[in-house]
Amino acid sequence: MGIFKQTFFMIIAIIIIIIGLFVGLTIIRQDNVIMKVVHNQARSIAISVARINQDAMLSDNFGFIVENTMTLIQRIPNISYIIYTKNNSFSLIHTKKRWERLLTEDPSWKIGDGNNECGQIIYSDLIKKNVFHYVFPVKLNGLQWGYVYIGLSIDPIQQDKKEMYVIMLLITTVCMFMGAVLAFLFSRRLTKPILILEEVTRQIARGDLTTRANIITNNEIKSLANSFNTMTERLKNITVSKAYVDNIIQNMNDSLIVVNRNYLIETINKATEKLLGYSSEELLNQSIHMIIPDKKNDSFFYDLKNMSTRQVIFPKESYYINKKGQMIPVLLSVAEMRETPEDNYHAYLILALNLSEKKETELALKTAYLKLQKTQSQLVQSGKLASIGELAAGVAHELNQPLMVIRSTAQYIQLARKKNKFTMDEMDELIDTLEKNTSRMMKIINHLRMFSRQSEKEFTQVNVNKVIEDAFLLLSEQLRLRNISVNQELANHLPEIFGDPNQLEQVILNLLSNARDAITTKMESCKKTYAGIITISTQYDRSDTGYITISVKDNGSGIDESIVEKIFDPFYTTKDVGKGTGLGLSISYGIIEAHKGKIRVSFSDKKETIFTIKLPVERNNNE
Amino acid sequence: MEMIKKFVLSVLPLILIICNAFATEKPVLRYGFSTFFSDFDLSYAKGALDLWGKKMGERTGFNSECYILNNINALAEKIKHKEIDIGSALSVEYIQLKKIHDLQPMYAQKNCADPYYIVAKKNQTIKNLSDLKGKRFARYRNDKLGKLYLNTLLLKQFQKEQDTFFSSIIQKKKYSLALYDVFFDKADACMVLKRTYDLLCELNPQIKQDISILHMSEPFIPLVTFCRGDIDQHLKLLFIKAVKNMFDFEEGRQIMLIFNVTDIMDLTDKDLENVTNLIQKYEKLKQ
Repeated sequence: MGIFKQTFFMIIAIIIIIIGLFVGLTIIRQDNVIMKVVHNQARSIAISVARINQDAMLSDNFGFIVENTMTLIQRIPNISYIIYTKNNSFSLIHTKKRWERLLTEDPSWKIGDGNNECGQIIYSDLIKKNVFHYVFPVKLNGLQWGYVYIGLSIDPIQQDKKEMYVIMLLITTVCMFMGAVLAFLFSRRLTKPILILEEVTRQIARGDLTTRANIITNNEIKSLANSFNTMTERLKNITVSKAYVDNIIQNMNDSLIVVNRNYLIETINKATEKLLGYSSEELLNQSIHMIIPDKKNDSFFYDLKNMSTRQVIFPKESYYINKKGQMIPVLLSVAEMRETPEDNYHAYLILALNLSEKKETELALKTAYLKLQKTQSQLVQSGKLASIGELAAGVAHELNQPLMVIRSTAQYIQLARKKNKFTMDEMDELIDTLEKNTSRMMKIINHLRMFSRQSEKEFTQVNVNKVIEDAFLLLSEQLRLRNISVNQELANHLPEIFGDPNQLEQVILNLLSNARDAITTKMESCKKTYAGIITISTQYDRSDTGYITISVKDNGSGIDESIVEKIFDPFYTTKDVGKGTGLGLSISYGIIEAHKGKIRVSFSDKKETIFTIKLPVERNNNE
Repeated sequence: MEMIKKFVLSVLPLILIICNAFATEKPVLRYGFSTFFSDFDLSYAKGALDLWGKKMGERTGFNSECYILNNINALAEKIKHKEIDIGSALSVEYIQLKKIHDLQPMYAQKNCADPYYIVAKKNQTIKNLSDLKGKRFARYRNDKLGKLYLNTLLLKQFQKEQDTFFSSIIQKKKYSLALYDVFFDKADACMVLKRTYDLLCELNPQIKQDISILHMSEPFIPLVTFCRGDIDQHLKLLFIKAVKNMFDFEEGRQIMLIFNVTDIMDLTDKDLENVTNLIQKYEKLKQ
């Protein structure tokens, strides 16, 4: 039942109760009043007729009594009878139509104790009707000589009552009607604003935030409506409509699924339909098991159950099964939906990012990366081999010197054996010389073989100073033959870095080779007073972010500033054809990048070319 | 301004005089009632008559003046000096007045002619009128016609007139009281109108059981209304019309009921012939 009906019937009930009480009390009161009036009337009549007829009764002037009494009865309509009795023996009975004389007194006329005034409604045998019978003892000088009995018709009483009831009924009906009309109007006036508010609330609940409550009345409800309108206006300003939200959800590129606590799907968007190939009708109210692989269920539901305890952190990669049974890699993000922040969750919002393309891309990228890595290795190897080719003459020189020593020693031993001129001490000294030079040769050869070997790309702890020294093992003889001075300013107690020593040596060799070539070029065009100098230094700056700096500086021909930006590009070279591959600095750049380091070129005030390499010290396997 | 005020004040009385002269003045009808009202409160009777005359005049177009006169002599004086136009009196009085003045009967109450009963308590000793000699007799005190009739009856039976025939005569205000005196043994006999006797027997059948009728007279018209012979005929017709119209409306009927008049009939001297004969017979027997 609506508020209008409740209010209406409540007011009607109140009106009925009030009218009922009023009518009931009025009827009771009115009955008493009527009976009192009748009693008083009967008493007045009795007193009057007793006084008028007292002398006549005492003097037996009954004719006078009859005449007066009949006149009185005729004139007063509601007198049914008047009876006079004298000495309990003689009676005059007067009714409207006749009178009668009796010589006895009917005992039924006396009511009450028979001695005092008394009146009540009785059935009268005289007129065969109910009457108000009143007994009035007549006394003269304290002596009671008889009674006057008055019978008043109760027809007027009944008529009065009937009229009263009719009037009451009429008043009640009118009051009820007016009350009903007023109750209707009042209820409508009272509840109409509330119903308007309710309707407005419904419309707002349906998402129509443009609806406003227009209340005409000037009371608290008007104030409430104004507050409601203000609230709606603010709500409109701070929220978006359901349609708007639905539109967003349906037009999302990513799959969105809402499941309830029983893991039944409640909502999906178009992206989900498109991703899985199911229609919304096929998915709604189905278990989430339908689209998540069985073997993953336990894991997924375990994740859901434990996400609130933060034991499981989303997003996580998982799989959906589409309509064709294919597994689709997705990145799942799950959120618990609550009505209010204090409530327990009642649903899960599952957002899935399709990783199929990403996986394919990753795979392709990985393949490309591996290919590139292989290519780079081959390139490095090629560059290395090129360096070896370039170093071949130097290596020959490096090997030639001990060989010359060995040959000279061997010739000396042969000559001395022929002359038997050498002693055992001298023999030991010669053998020691042979040992040292062959050891040096083996060292050069072993290093060359090791350097030329394909790198395994396995990073280990590397002593940068050792790498530099190894590089000079292959190149120092060439620099010496070209009268190029080398200044090694290697820092002591240099911390090891994490890297590939072979590759790093290749970088050092590239830089030293380029410095050698720049100095050689400058020597060819400069005066004889020019002395080529290569300065290589290492240092560790603790104030920096843990980098070892390697500087290779030469005072060679230098680099034109216009080509500085291109020197690390592959296949870019300033050397003559056949003298450079254009890969040296490019490969070096790649190697340093692979070591998370940086390589740059700069120039000193003396136009010296400085290549600076920075390599990070703090590295670990995961990096 | 002052001139206008003087002019208006001088002309206004003249206008009122002219208007009054042109106004039609209603004729005045003077009405006299004789002693049959003596049982009533005279002021009450006067008020009722004034009301009666006023109502008649209003409806018919005349003004009335009513007089209540204590005795027949006063009425005769008024007629003599033409101070009344119409009068009402006992039939006996009318016949006596008519002997002296020029009078014309006009109307009487319809069916008012009623015989007299002479009744007595049923008793072995009272069988006829002569048995009432020396008995107690009750009668209506203003009934001149009844008294005349009873005296004539006694004289015809060679008896003395009632004042000496009965041991005592009880004068009662009403016929009914006279009958009650007989019923309650206050009197031995009484003279009562037939209408009254029948009514009382109807009210109490015991009366009929206890009381016997000794004699019954012929019916007499007790009251008459008459006019002077030289009355303006137009006024006479207006009055007759007015009296008859009184029964055409409720208020008029109520007023007429006060006088116990329910209808009227036109009256001629012939209708009063038995009364005239009774008077003549009495006067003859008395001689």
